[in-house]
Amino acid sequence: MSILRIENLTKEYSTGFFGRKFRALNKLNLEVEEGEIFGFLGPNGAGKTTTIKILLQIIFPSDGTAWLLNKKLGDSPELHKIGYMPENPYFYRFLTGNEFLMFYARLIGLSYEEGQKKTDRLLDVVGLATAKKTRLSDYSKGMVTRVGLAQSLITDPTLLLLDEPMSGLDPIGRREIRDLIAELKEQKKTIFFCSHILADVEMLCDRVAILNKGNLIKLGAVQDLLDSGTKHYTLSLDGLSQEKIDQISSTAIKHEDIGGIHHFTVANHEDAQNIAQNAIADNARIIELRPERGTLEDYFVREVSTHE
Amino acid sequence: MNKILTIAFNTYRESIRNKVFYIIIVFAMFLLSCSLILATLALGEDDRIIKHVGLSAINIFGLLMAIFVGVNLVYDELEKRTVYTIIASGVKRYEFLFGKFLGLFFTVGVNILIMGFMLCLLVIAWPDCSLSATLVLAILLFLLEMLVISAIAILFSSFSTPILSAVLTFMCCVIGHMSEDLLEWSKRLSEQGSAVFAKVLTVIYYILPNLEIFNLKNQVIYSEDIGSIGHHFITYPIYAIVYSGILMLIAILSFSRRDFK
Repeated sequence: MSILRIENLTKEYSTGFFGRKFRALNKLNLEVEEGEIFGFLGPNGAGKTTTIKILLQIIFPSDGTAWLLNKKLGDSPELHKIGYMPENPYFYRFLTGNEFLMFYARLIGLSYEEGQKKTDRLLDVVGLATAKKTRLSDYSKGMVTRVGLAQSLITDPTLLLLDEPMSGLDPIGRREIRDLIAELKEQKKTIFFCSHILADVEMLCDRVAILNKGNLIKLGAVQDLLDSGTKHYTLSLDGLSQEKIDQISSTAIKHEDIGGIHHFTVANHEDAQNIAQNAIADNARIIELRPERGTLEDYFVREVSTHE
Repeated sequence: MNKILTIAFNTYRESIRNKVFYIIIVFAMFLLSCSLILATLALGEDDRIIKHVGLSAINIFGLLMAIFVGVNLVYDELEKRTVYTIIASGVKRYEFLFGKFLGLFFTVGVNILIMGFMLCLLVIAWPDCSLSATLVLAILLFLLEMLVISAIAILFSSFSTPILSAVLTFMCCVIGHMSEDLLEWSKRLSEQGSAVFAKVLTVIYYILPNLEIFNLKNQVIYSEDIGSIGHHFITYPIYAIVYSGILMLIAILSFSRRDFK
């Protein structure tokens, strides 16, 4: 079931003295299924943040609409069931971590006791329990990101919209946030997140959409996209006879002999399978059969470049 | 209402944790101290000088606080994007703006009441001074003036930069205190045949608030009988609330369909 459905969403801004129209988002269509982690990718200025802002009614669409949790945009969407963490979060620096979360708890109508209970739990979840009485002005960037994530969870949301949640974090901070997102998926939360850190997206997301200059250029499951980019197969064999080595070399794109183990690069899956069967018949040992496919980053760069 | 009050309280908390607030309080105290020094220099005029300087200090610092805190309130939220997560929490834009307005008024109101209380204590403690009901009323009327000024500051802050908002709010305050003069000037211009200018001034008179009605300084200093204007103490709060309400309505209308950058 779709938890988020976007139809022909378009956003135009007027720029310059003469109000020239600039289209930041062009007829975007996509659906996000319940319980999935959806990666929303694109270079800077692609329209990712614009889309999130429209969904949260921070800005208004020029055309098209969207349905969040089955409610049409503008029809009092159940924003209290949606968690949101903005890019480079800048929160009230004069508040302590505890006061900050309590502020949001009170905004969504929780009583003081309920709010405090939830605040304590969330600060614990994001690893800030010891910094609950420290003002946000004294928090490091990683701590601000974590408290921002806690803020987005205060409503116990069904859908989480995270805009660059790993931005500016060190590797340990990134890993913590990644683990937290994976944990949220286990809790059946739907997560829609934008990120430039494609290694994290590849690890976490079920499906991704790639946006460029306001246009959707690719949409699909991460594995399918990566498989479609598979170039070659590498087959590593040990104990081959010289005759077989010559035979396989003639069909392989590349052959390397490293310490008696022969590494063959072949063009497709069928060739790799045939060679493997031949090798087994020749009493050789298969060390490895591996598709050589690019990373999501390779795929992303290629797709964005072709649509420039 | 809960959301509005939560935002109002947070705005108040932001202001009291802002060092500018304390600087203004310290300056107000400094000015009150000055009134004491002046009072000792002007023999026999202690009562008038203490009340005059004290009320002026409360008025000026209240005004400065309303302007400088007010013009930054909404602008900062938009600029630093703190408003995003608030709107995303299901808070309506009018709730946000009204909460900011209430928070500002509460901040300025508490400031005025503290300074007013200090002035009253000073008047009670000073040998040749006497506390009058007019003095207390004058302080309370400042609260109404601040209600209107807070609404003006929030209105400008909702669509323009802090500097421009501060200038525009300050201009409204100055003209608002010259309201009666504007009407008088308009009448004279009309008599002299400048009908267009007279009309412009009349329009300004009706658009801008008449802040001078909240000024009882002369009545306090010269211990005038305020019985003749006593009935206005019912109409003045209504005027302040309705005027602020209209300003907030305009601010909410301009804010509600605005794209936050």
